[in-house]
Amino acid sequence: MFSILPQILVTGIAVGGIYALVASGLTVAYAVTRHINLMQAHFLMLSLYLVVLFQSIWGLDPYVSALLVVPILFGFGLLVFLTFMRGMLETNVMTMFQLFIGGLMVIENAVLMVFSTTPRQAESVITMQRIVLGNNIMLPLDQVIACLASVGIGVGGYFLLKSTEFGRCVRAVSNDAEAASLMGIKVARVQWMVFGFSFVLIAIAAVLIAPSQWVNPNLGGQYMIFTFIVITLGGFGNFVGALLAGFLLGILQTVCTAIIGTTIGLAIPYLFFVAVFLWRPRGLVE
Amino acid sequence: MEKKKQSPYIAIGIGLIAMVALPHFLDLTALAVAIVTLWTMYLCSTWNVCGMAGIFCMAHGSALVAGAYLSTLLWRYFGISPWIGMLAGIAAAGLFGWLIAALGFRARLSSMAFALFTAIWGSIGYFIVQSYNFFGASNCISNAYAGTHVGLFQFENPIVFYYIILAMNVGAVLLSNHILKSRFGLYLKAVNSNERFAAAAGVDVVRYKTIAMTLSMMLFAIAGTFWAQYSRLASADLAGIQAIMFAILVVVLGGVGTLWGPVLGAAILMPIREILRIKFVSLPGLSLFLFGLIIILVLRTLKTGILTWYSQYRQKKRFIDIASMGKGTPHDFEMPSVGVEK
Repeated sequence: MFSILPQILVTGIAVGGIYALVASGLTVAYAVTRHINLMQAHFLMLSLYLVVLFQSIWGLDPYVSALLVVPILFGFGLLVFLTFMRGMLETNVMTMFQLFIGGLMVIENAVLMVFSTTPRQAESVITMQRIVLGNNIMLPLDQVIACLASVGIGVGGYFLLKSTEFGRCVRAVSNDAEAASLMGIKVARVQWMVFGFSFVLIAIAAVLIAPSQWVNPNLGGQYMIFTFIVITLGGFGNFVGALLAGFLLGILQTVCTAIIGTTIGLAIPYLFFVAVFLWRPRGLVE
Repeated sequence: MEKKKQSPYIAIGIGLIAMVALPHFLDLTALAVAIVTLWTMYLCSTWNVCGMAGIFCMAHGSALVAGAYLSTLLWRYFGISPWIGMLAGIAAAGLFGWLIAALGFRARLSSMAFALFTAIWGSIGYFIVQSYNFFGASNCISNAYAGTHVGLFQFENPIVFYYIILAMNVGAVLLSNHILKSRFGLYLKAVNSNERFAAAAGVDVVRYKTIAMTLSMMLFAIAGTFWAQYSRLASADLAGIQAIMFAILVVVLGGVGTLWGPVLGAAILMPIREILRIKFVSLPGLSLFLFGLIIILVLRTLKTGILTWYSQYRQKKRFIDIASMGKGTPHDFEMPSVGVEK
């Protein structure tokens, strides 16, 4: 039991790290625009396909292709902001929601047409490599990297929002956009920068899971519901909350799958959500 | 305005007669498309009861499942007629709706948070159906077809189902009309346009929202039973978030909270979707890709549903006419009574 515990923990943090990265970007974007970008998880799927694509064309390792995927996704972030958000921020929540659903239909089916439903995976030089600690503790290397990187980026993002000028602007806009604009903050600029930032987080998450994740066009839908759970648990618009909830959810899911079994493990996010919701309806972190 | 009051009834009458005559001119494929269209239309009209109050609820898939599975399971294992199973489904769906509403509204979630909250509850329903063998797990569960029998809600001829779903649609529209004109509908509209003002004016917001949601879920259970009887199986796909998202999409595109918005939306969108699907059957994905593009274009240009946009446009035009002709005052100007934007 104790020999596999570190491995479960690392896997849990790696899995949770992905939820945390995707959801925390989404939640900050919500904080400054008041709209949930439903396509977030679909862009995770899209960037996984980009990683696969770059490998099949140029033979790039997933970690190297980050150099391409990150700027491309930043561009996508700006594109989404321009086509979906600009001039629509005052629109009814339901209408915006449907607009995003139209968007995710376009993405999912475009990917389906190009790549078909066959699951694909990008191979890295470190796939299947393990770090051996002591007697029989073995940690998959890609998960250790995902674990460290997601924690590092989470902490980095926290300080970016906490102590830089940009972060101050973001917090001001999320508190009250109108007041912020009166103080001379360019609200639209903050909004598109945050959108770009959230898409960069998606790209990083995609690169981190690429070596161990099989990707098919339905992956976006699967991740979508988890990101919903994470941002609801973390409290809407709360960066730190989303990070913590993401990691917590990943660890819980992995531990329960390992100890009890797969069926229960899959139900854990939902059960956990219900339990927490009944206890703290407005999120774990307030 | 007085002149125009007659025309809707004539139009509705002609439309209804056309709908009654329609199945006799269709082949089996077209009939299936017509039934799916009408079924979606019913879902949209009944979901719209939530829409009137501005409740963004995505847990309705569970209500469909309650209707489909309870009637099927009761008939299969206990020999109880699906008509009674349907009542059980309605009761279960109502209870579930009331539970979610009670939890969500008391927590005072924002509209967005409530949407996600209900989406997650809907997924729990999907998960339960998927993972227990009693519900047929990931397979569907067939409903033990025993030939045409009115008492068992089973018919050989799909035209019968066509007329049943047509009648359900008429019922849904009549009910929506009744609600919109009643005091209850007025409360819902007040809640939709501004919850705080409504509360300040003495409307018990949580109570009426809960009633609207429970009612809407109960009506959905009927659609669930209908679908299980029509397709002769109950499948977990009904609980999937895709089905309900599509229904909401249609409502929003038609015009949330309006009487005819859902009907119009379904009548336009469903045939487009089906035609695209049949046309591009060789390339999976292309039809929904185009469909998504159409939705984006429409919503991006109108920024709201078709009927809501149209009534706003007419009001604006009338206002300009009145102002430019110097006849009457802007007080004649009637506020749009539908789908008030937040």
